[in-house]
Amino acid sequence: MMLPPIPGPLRAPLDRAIEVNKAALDLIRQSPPWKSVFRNPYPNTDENRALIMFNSFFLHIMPVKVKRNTLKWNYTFGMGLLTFYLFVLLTITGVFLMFLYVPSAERAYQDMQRLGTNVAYGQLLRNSHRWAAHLMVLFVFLHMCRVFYTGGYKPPRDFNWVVGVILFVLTLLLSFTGYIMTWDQLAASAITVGANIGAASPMYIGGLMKAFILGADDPGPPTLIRVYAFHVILLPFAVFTMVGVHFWRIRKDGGLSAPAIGRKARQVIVPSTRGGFSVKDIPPVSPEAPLPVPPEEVRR
Amino acid sequence: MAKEETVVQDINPKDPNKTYGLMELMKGRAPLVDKGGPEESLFSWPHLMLWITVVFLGLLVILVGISWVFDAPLREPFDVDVPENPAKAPWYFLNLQELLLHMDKSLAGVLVPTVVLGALMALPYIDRNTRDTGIWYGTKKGVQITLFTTVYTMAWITAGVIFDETNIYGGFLRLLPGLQDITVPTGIHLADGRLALYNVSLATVVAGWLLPVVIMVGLIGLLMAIVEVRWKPNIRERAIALFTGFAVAYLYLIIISMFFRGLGMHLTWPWDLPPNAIPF
Repeated sequence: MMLPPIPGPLRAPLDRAIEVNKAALDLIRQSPPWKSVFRNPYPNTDENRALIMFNSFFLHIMPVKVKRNTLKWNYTFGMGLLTFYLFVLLTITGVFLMFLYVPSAERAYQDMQRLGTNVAYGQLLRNSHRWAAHLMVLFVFLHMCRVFYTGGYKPPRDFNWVVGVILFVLTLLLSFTGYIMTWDQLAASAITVGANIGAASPMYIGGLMKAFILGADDPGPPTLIRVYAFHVILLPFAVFTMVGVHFWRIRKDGGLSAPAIGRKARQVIVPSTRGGFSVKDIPPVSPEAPLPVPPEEVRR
Repeated sequence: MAKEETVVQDINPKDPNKTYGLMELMKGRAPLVDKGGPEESLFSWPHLMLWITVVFLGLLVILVGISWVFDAPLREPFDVDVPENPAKAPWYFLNLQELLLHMDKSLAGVLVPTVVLGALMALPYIDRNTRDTGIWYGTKKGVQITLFTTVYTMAWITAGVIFDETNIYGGFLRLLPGLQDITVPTGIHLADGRLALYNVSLATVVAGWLLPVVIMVGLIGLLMAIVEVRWKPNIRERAIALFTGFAVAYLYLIIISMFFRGLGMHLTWPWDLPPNAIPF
């Protein structure tokens, strides 16, 4: 959209205002407090774009540059990112819910009701925690399918796939323990089915599993308190740790999976004489000849 | 790239056999040598930062929107002595609950999930060919195998679920006289502080273990045989057949258990479901 030209009499004061504004911003950006927080200038040059990524605590998990492929919506559908965001939102809403919920068999159900009647935005808080939990299970599954169908589990990302499978199981357990905490009939059905599955373990492990899940012979108050401990501390801590490993391995394994090279068949990446890599055509030998393994795929 | 015109003769003497000229001037704040690189990389700031921010805000809006419109369920207070009918697990465990209806609970609840998770974790150590990393389905054959396996899995699960609901199955077991009378030890357990043997009738073993295992292994074997003959697959395409079978079974069993299981977990149409039959 083109702005109409600024009429003559206004131009001078406007320019002046912009100048003052710039000077004020510069003053702030040159001030010791600003510089103590932001360790490099605004990232509008390539150098500063690189610096901001490794100088910031929050950004340094991400690389300075990403493959174009990483940002293609129809390559990842953003499902891993969405899963992580849902976990963050669940942590935040979960902490608020902890202020409002007592994990005792006498009070839990009433606390759930009070969220809808006596707490400002309590129902919205509970709704968002509930739906985010369901969505997280869904997205973690879809993310696994995406990684599988794009071949993202292949080396060097093989171990990270295993970490992902563990995270899938942890997510299910996290969601399941939360499901029990409403202490309504849905929870009763769930814990009954869950305890039956645990009790089905072979040999005498079954009995131990059932006791471990229920904390008693039948679902009751001891069940609720152990489900609570798992849900608010043990499992989130495990997920948080494994997510850390998962993300760290993405970096170490060379970023998100991508087609080997600039995507022309029968090309290969070779180390360049100037350092770095360059793309070279492979002379057609025979149609069956295997492609050499590109160096970027070699485990670092 | 911009080529320097002023050449310092001492260091870079002109080659008399070559001609020199200014090729092109480009605007830029940094040298553009190898810009993009072999993988066409982009700066995380602003490209990645922009998108992860947009995705977060979008998710937040959608989540608050859903939470504003739909209330989370809260049923009657917890009472295991008065179970709901049907009593269903949360949706992501409904596939296991569906399996429990068709086989021994140790097999459905422990052995099958353990084998599936073990196979998932073993996958990257079996398929280690990185040539087609990063390409959806790898090849055209991969797409065809995915579609075929989806139809194959859904068809057999539908058939199996209906077959198990009919009397044919029970009648078939009754055809084998004497099975009820023979007992076999299937495990040990603690009874009064001592190890004791579980004794189970042979009919239970056949119905709960033998037939389900034979059917599951047989159907997976048949799938792999068809894929092998029809597509001559490589290792990744075989993995696609197996994984698709798992993923489709995972979701399809959830759908059956959630929408087609009514009173007493018997098969019914979704519109005939009793109230509260969907665990939401």
